[in-house]
Amino acid sequence: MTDRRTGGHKRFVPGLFEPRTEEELVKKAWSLAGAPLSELARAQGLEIPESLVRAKGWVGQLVERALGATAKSLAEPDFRELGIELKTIPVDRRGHPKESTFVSSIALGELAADSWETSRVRKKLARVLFVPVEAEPSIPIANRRLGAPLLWSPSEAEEHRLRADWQSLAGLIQSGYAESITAHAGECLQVRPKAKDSRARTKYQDADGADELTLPRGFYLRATFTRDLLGAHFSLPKP
Amino acid sequence: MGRVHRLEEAVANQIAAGEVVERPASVVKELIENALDAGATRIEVDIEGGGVELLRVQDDGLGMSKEDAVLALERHATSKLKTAEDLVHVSTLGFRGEALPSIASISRFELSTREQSSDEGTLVEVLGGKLGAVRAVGMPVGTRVQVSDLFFNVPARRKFLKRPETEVSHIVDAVERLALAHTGVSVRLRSAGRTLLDVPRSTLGERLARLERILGSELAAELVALPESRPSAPVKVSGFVARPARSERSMRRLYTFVNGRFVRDRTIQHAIQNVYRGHLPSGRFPVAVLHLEVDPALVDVNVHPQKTEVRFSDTSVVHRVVSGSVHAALAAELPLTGFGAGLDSSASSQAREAFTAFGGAASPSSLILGRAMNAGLEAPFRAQAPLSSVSRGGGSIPSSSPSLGSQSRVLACLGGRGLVVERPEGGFAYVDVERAEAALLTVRLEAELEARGRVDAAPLLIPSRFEHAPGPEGLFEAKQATLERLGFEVEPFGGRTFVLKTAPRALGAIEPVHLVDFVRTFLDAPGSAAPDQRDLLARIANLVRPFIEDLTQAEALVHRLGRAFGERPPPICFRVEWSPEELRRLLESA
Repeated sequence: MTDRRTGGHKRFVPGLFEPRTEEELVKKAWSLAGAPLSELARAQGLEIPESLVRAKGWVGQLVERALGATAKSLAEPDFRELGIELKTIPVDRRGHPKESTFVSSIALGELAADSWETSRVRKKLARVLFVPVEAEPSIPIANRRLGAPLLWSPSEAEEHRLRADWQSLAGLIQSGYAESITAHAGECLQVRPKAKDSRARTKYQDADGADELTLPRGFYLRATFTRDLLGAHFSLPKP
Repeated sequence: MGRVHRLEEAVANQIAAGEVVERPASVVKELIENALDAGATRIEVDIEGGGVELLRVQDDGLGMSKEDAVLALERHATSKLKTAEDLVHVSTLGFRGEALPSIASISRFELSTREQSSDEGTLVEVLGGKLGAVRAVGMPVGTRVQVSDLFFNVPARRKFLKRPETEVSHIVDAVERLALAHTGVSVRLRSAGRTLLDVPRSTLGERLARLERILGSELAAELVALPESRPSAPVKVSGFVARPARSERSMRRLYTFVNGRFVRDRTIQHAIQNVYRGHLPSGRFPVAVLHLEVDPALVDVNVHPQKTEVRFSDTSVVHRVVSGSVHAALAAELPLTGFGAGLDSSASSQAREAFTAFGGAASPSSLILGRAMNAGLEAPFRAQAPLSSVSRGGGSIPSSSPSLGSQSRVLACLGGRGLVVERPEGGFAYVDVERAEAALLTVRLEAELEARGRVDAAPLLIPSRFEHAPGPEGLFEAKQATLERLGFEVEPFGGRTFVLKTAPRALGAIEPVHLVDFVRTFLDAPGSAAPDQRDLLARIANLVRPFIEDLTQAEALVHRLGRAFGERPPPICFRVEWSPEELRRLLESA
C-alpha cells in the first residue's frame, strides 16, 4: 500500500506501543538523539526517499513511529494517552528552524464560536515534544541526524503572546477577512494556506455574509518563535 | 560469620599489582628504579616475547642479605622510608614497597641477590605470590630479578596486553626515559637477544652524546641546550629542547623529569608548549628533554602508584621557571620570531603571575604583534589560531593591569579579533578579543562551579556520537563524573561508541567538533586523577572563537571586562600598550 504523504514509499503503520509516561517518551527520544535517519529507517524496514520534496511528511512519520506515536488522525494528539503532540523541526547548520511549524488547520466556519481557551491551537500546543532534525541540503537524507528532544509547554509569557496573535488572527477570520491575512501577520503564530494543492477550496462566509470558496488554511508557529525556543534551551552548533 | 573480612595477602598484592603493573614496561620501570636506588652503575635488561614470557633486570648495585631478600617480597617492606615524615623528603625513585611483591604475585618470579660483604648470593623463588625455595647461589654482587609468565594467574589483565611488538616499544620507551634521566649509569636493553639500546655511562659534559645515542643523531642535531639556572632558583631546570623545525605527532618525545623521575605533568607540559605556540603547525608537539630539580619538600610524588604524576606545592613557580628557561634557549636561537610574547591562556591568578613575571623578562625584540598575538592557545585542545595581520611595532606588554573602566573608548576593531582602546588615564591598549572572552568565560565557569558545584549545562541540539577506545575498567566512569561537573554529559552507547549530550551553557553557539575533541582528549589522557580544575576551565573557555562584528559588540565587550574585573582586567586580555607618542610614531612609520 502506498501513501501520498510518503511519496509512494511503504506506508507507515502506527506504533503499537505508545510510551506510558512522559519520562518514558523523553527517555526514548533521547536514545534516538544523534542517530542518523538511516538508522531509524533500517530499524523500521523502510527505504529512504531520494528527495523529501515529494515525501514531505516522511521524516515526521519516521520519528513518530520510532517513538511509538499512536494517533490515527490529525485531530488527536500524536501520543493519545499522554496528550502530547510531536513536532519535528527541520534545522539548518546553525540549528535554526528552516520553516514554520504546522499547528492546526482552520475550520473557517467553526472558528466563529471559538475562544482562545477552547481553541484547537491552544489544545495542540498545551504539551509538545519538539524533535529537531538536521535538514541541511548538503547532508544526504540518510546521514541527517535527529536532535535532542525538548518537551515543552508554553510559559505564561509565551501563552500571552500566542493568545494575542490567535485573537487578532481568529478575529479577522471570524469577521470574514480571511482573504486579507498574509503570512506577515502575527508575532509567533501565522496563518498560511494548508492544502493538498492550490486548487483546493473550502467554504466560508465573507465580511458581507456571502458564502465564498477559499483556500484551506492553517495556524503555524513562526520559525523565529521556534528558533528562540531552541536557542533558549539548547547549545546550538556554529557552522 | 561477618561479611567483612581481611583480604588474603596474595589477593591484596594482586590488587596493588593492578595499580603498579599495567604492562611489562611497568615491571621494567619498577625494577630499573630499584636498581638505581641500589646505586647500580650498570643495568642490563633482557626480554623475550614482549616481556610477557620473560623479563630479566640485572644490576651491579648494593644487593641484599638473605633476610632482606625475603622481606623485600612482603608488601610495604621498603628500605627507603621508615615514618610518614620521610614521605615529605622522598629522594629515592621507589618507596612504596609495593613493586616487588606486586610483580611476584602475578608471575613466576626469581630474585637473586648478593651483598658485597657476603660470599654467596641468595635466590628466592615466588610463584603467583607464594614463597617457594630460598637457597644459596653463586653470583656477582648486585641483584637480578627474573620475571616469567607475567599475568599467568590474571587472565583478565593478560587480555588487555597488545601485540608483543607494541609491548616491546613500551619497554623501549620506559628504558629510554630512565637512561635519559640517569646519565651516570650504563644501560643495555636486549629483546630476544637483539640489542635495542646500549648506552654507556656518561659524565654531565657528555649529555648531548648520550642523547644522540638514545634519540638518534638526526634529532640530537636539532637540540638546543637550556641556559644554566641560577643557583638560588627554587626550581632548577636543565636539558635540551628541539628547534621548532623538528616536532612530533604526539607528546611522546616530551621527556620531563622531576628529581630524576620521569613525570607527565600538565604544568610542565603546558609551560613548554606555551613557548612553541604559533611556531608549530596544529597537531604537532615539541621535543624536549627537561630535568627539574625541586626541593623534595615542595613536590608530592605520592600521587599515583606508577609515580608518573607529581604535585607541586606551587605550580606557578614551576610554570614560570620552565617557560622562562625554554624561552631563553629558543630566543637565543631565533631572536626575531616573537617567542614568549604570548603567554597564558587562563585568567587564573597563576597565569596572571606568570605573565607578569615574563612581561618584565621578555626582550623587546620579541614584543612583536602579528604571530605572537595569537600564541597562548592550548595546542591539543584547539586548532591553530588565525594569524593577525597587524604589522610589527613598538610598544610594551603590560606588566601590571591597566585600567579599563567605563571611560574607555573603542577606537578600532581589527579583523573582528582585536580592539584598539583609548584608556581613561591616557594611552592606548590593544585588547585581544579571544583572550578577553576566554578570561570572562573562565570567571563565569568558575563562579558557576563554586555556586552550584557544577557548570550549568545545555543539551546539544544534535548530540554528537563519537568513537573512543575504552581504557581500563572504571577509568571512564571516573572521568565521566569530572566531565559532567564541567558541563559535558557523556554516555556510553554500546561498544566503542559514546554520545556527548550536553555542553557548558556559557559557551553559546559552538562548533560541535571542538567539544568532541575536548572530551576525547580528556578521556584519552592517561591516568584517572583529575587535572587542575582551573586549567581545565581555561581550556574549555578557549574552545570559543569570538568574533566582533560591530562597534556595539566591541563596546559591550569592553564594558563586560570592566564589570567582571572592575577597573583592572587581567593583563592577559591585553597584548600591548602604547603611549600616545608611541602610537603616533607607529602609525606614521606604517
